[in-house]
Amino acid sequence: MAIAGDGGFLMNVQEMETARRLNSDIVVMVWEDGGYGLIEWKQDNTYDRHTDLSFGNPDWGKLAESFGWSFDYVDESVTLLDVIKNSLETAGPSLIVVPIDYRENAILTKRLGEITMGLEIVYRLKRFATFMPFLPIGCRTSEVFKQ
Amino acid sequence: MRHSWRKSTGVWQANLECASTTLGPGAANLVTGVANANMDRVPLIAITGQAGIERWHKESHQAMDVVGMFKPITKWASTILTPHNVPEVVHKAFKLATAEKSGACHIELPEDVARMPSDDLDPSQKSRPTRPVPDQDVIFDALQMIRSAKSPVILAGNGVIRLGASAELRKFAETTGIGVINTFMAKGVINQDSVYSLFTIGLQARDLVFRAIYESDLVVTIGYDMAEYAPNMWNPDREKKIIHLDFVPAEVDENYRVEVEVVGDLAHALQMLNDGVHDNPFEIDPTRQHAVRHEMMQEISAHEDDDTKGPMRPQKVLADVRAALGPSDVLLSDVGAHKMWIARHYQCYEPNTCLIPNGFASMGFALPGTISAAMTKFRPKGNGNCR
Repeated sequence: MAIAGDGGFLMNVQEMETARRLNSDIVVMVWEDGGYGLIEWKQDNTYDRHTDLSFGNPDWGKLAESFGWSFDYVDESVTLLDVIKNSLETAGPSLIVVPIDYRENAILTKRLGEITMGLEIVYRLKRFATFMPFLPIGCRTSEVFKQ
Repeated sequence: MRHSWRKSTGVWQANLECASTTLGPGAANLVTGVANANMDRVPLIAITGQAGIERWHKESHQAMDVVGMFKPITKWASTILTPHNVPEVVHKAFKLATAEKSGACHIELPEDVARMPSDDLDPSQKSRPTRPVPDQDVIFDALQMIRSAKSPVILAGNGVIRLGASAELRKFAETTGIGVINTFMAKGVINQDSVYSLFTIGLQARDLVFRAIYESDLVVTIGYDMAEYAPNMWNPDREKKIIHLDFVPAEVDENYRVEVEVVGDLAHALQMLNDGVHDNPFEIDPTRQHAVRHEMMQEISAHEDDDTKGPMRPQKVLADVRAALGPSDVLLSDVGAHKMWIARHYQCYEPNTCLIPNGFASMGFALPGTISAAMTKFRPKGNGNCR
């Protein structure tokens, strides 16, 4: 099984023919966001904005049909597990397209920022404690870090 | 992109991949795939055609410097100028492609040379180089340093997968109690359910996993490949003590100041370390590493029961993919935002069961890669001493 973004999948989309010809027992899941999500993520992190990174997608159902692949589009998360299991059981190549919620990217960045911030604070305290040996033990880094 | 076949079989030493194209644009179309294989350390031979030597000196249809184009993206690239050279050139390409760190080699065959008779030539005798074994004194030094550390941590890279050293690595973690962080391409070196698994590192921002390195006073790198994750990301203050275990000596990097360099076959080196630990066991307080593991597990399982409609959270999708696939099934990742989520949230039980291009990291890998992986009938190996 493979997972690809819509951009990466379309870069070698002609290989859908190879998979059909070889009758490969594969499942390829495409995460659809209609853009270069990682570049957008990085640009947003660095510049708080991004260039135009969006693109259009084919009609995935027609694409799969034209290459002779099985196809599922899933936008109800409760049904996803069954669709994946069924596709794994299906002979020949299968395409699953899932619209993906990349608002989670910014949420993860914020979360990682908090983790980094926490480490920075502890790091400074550690430096501080190193030069302030008279501080009570409870203020030393190892104790702070356990919080 | 065929190199996922090699990755998913896990028997890197014995075999390699070949790709062949015609001259000019055919050769140019190989560039991204060959560069990807080379920087992911995949043994690959690329064979391309070339215009006949008789028209090399002038402007000519589809004739360009293909060897020059391949030199920066291979370990070695050469033209066969006479049939007499074929056995040596082919032998050398195979030998260099499979030698650590393995990678891509390129052979070019001009049309007119290809037409020359070569019936009287036999294949070159295949050599079987023995693998280097680390010095016992260096193993002793490494053990001494690990023994005196308060909170050591292991950073395992793609070399552990490629050299089939997972079994010895797991044994080392179990006998010493040292937690294992793996890079994207080293997924599965340790079982995700093992208490010693501290999951994957390699996001550009600092993650929870980074804390395990941050809190450590010694980093033992095993088969670590800087092309995946630069040392300044995890050692910005250059203060970490480092023990380097790899088949080849450490790359020079100001943020990677190695105190003990254990150079030799990884599985054998780990076996020597395990023997040393066995003779004189030691315990390490795992409390902090367990805390990191526990927090990361909470992050991974968040949203696994998500029931929203419309666009889905990456965490939920990966929880379902993991639930649908068996422990030995193979998941390939392409390159993009999804790769970051797969690296962080999709965990493995066995080596070679999650393939992520992360050296050169070119998009477009997943679809052709999974076709190749399917041709091997998903037989992950590499979990053992391959000496």
